Amino acid sequence: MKANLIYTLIIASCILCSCSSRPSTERKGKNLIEVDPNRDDKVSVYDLFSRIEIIPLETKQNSLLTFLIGEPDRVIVHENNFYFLDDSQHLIIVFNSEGKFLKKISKKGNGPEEYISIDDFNINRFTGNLEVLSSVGRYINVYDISGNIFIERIKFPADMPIVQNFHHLTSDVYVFFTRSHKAEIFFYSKSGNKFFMSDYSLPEWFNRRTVFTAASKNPFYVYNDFLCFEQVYNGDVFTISPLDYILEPRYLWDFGRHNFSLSVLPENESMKTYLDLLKKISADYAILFQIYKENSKYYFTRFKFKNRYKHLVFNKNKNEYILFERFREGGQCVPQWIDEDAIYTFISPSFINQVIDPSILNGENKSKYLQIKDDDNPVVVKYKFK
Amino acid sequence: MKKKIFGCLTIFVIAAVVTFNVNLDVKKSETTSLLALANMEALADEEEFTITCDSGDSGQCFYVSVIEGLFGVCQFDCDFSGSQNDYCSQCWVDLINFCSAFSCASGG
Repeated sequence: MKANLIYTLIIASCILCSCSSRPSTERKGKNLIEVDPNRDDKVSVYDLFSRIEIIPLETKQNSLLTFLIGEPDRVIVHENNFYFLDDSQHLIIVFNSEGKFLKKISKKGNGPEEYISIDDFNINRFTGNLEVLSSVGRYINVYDISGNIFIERIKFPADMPIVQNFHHLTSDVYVFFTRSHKAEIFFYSKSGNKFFMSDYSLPEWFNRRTVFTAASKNPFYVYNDFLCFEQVYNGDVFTISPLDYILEPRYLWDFGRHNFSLSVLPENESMKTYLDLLKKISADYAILFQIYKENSKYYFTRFKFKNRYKHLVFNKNKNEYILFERFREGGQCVPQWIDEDAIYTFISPSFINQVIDPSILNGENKSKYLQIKDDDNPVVVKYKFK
Repeated sequence: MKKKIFGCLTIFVIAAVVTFNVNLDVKKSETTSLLALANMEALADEEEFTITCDSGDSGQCFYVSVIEGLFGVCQFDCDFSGSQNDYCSQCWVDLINFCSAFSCASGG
């Protein structure tokens, strides 16, 4: 009898443990990095970068980009070209590394080779093709990199949730992020035309009525062939294993008593209530990690604390970080793309003074900066690493 | 002051959305000519049913979402959910964005 009871307890414990394997709660181990959010290091632009380049994107009638809140909907730098998603115009606009307009990829329509909406896009690292996600149409359209040649439509199963973002885990398996109801991650096998859910799930009230999940344009990024996922509300980063589809902690930031979790918020309140609470929450907790960029040397992130934006640059080789609000020379550090050579910020002319002070630019770039007009196309600010 | 403006706008928007929803059947016949309707089929309990949603950027099966941009600008939008219980009007969202061109933290 006693043995049966112990056996039952062990089984029950195992079941409970397996149920509590949500990645967001596993905040321990060597990937946990202690950060003091009150730190404000004195950081010069030239501590990290050797020069800054201003690249205005060519302003022509058919190259106009909409940056509704000063920033792009999504951008990918591929073979030195900038691919901008403009979801309000339902198209992708491509510029070269000097900002010259190259082409507009616009296929909106109801035809078999067109898309009904464009909500996300990627350049498939396995095939080199351009892939466009239509949430409304529930499919991915595949084109060659020029966008001219339609290759195929990947139609999702009818019972698959509506998805907003995607990336490629393997050549066959896609990873999707949905925030239509709960925020969830799931996987889709193209060859099997089947999907399966991960353990990752955030409740609908949190997902729909707060700014903590929708803030993310695309929560996935690829570094060194690892597919990573960033959790916008507290900045935790996970690597998604292509073998067992588990989210393994990559960088977990420990702000001590300033760590934000869902339990801080009352449940099932209105959007207005959560917006009203935002200032109070930001006063006490590190929130809204809207930047997550990584190369072989650094991991960059940017979050809000005490209602100010803080920039965290983690040096992977030295295992140490710097934290600052603004560079010593003025301006913020807002990398929206990174490679081994540089970070890139893409910004509307009306916001450019928030990221850069023209006094630190050299003659040629200062001249470009001063010629930018408010109704011009957005600008690329390229910070070349030392 | 901003909170008051937001409050007024919220009430106004809710009233408008409710009115829109009450008159949805009437409106539908008008908007069908303007908006292509996306038909989506789903299987549940081995019975087939059709969910009818508006295509484009807003309408039936869209819900109101909010983001805070990198530079603190609060932006409301209509996001597709695929659920017929949801309705979001792009006109009202644009109006809210126009009127609330300040940070989310100040009350949205």
